[in-house]
Amino acid sequence: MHIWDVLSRRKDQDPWEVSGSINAPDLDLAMMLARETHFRHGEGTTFALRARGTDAIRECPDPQGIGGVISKEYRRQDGYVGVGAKLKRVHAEMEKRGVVIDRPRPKGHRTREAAGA
Amino acid sequence: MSYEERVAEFKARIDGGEKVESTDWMPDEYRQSLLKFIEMHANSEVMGCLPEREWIPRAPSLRRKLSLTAKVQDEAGHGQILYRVAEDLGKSREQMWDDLVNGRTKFHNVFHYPTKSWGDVAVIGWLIDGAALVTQKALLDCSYMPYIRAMRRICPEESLHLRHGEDLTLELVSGTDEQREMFQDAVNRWWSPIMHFFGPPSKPDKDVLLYWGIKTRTNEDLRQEFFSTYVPKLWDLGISVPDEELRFDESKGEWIWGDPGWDEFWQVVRGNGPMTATRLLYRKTMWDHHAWVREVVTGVPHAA
Repeated sequence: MHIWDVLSRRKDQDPWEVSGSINAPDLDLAMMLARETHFRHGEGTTFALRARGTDAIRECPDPQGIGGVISKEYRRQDGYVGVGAKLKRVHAEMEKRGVVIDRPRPKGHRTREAAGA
Repeated sequence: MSYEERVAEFKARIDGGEKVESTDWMPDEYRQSLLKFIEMHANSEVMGCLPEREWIPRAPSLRRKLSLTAKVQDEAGHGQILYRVAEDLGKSREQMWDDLVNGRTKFHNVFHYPTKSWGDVAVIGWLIDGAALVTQKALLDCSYMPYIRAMRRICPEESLHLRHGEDLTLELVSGTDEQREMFQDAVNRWWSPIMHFFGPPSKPDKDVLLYWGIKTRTNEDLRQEFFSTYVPKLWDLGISVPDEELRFDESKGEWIWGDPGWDEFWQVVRGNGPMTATRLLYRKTMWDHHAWVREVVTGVPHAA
C-alpha cells in the first residue's frame, strides 16, 4: 500500500501546504480518500497528492466539488449559527422558572447577581 | 556523538520549541511514548463512533439523523488520520487494529459505557466532546509536527460537534419536564466517567509525555479548564452536577471537586468496562466480514 502526502491550498494563490497523508493502492483511490478524509467539510479550495518519496505533485482534477455539491449545513459551523444566543434565551427562561443554580464561578461567567436577577 | 548526547540534543530542541518531523532522528523513548499515545487516540476515535452510532436509527428527526451520522463519519475519519500518523512511527495499521480488537491496546474510558437515552447523545456531543476538545486543543502545540497537522484538521470538526451537542442539549433542557429529566439523568450517569476522562491527578515531573512535549498541560489543568467552561453553563440551565463537593474557590481561583474514586477507571481502561467486550466484538466482526473489500482493493494476501 502506497503512502501519499496530502497537500492543500486554503486559497487559490496560496502555496501548497502539507495537510497530512493517506494510504491508497493507486492514484484514483488516493484522490477519493483524500477528498473524503481531509476535505469533507470544504477545507481549502483544492488539494494535491505526492507519492511519498517522489517529487511529482498530482492535482485534484475536479476541485469544484470539494465539500459536496448539495446543502450539508449540518456538517459546518454555519449550520449552528445562533446556538450561543439560544443558550442565553434558555438561561433567561430558566431564571424565570427559578431553576438556575447560583453559585460562585470564575470571572467572566455570568451570575444571577451580575445579570441583575 | 554518543546516544546520550543525541538524546540531550533532541531534548534541547524540544525545550526550545522546535517541532519534530517523522523523518527526524528521535530517541526510542520518545518514539514509543508518542506511538502509544497516538495509537490510543486513534483507537478512541474509532471506538467512539459506536456509542453514538447506536442512536442513528432512533434519532428523533431527519435533521438530527443527518447531523449525528455526519458526526460519526467525522470520528471515523479522525481515526483514519491518526492511524496514518502513528504508522509513520513504525507500527502497521493492521497490527494496531489487531491489537485493538483483541484487547491488547487501550481506548478512552468514556467509550466503554452504554448509551441509554437520547440524553446520552446530548451529553456525549456537548460535555464529552467538550472535554475532548479541551485536551485536543492542548495538543496543537505538542512537539511532533505530524500530530499537530492532524489536530489542526480534527479540532475544527470537534468544535462543530460541540455546537451539535450544545444544540441538542438546549432542545432537551428547554423542552418538557421529561426531556429535562432525561438530560439530567444522563449528566448524573456520565459525570464520573467524564472526571475519569482527564485521568487521575499526576505529578508533572514524573509524566514522560509532558517531559517530551507530547502533552503540554497536566491532567488537572485540563480538568480545571473543563469545569470553568462547562459547569457555569450547566448551572445556568438549571442542571446540577452529581458532586456535592464541587465548588469554585474564589480565593484560590480554582475548582474544588470530589474524588470520584479511581477503581472503576482502572477497571474500565484495562478492558473491563460495561460495554468493552460488546464493542470490541462488533469491531472484530466487521473487520472479518469486510475482509473481501480489502482483498479487492489491495489483493489477496499470500499464505504464510
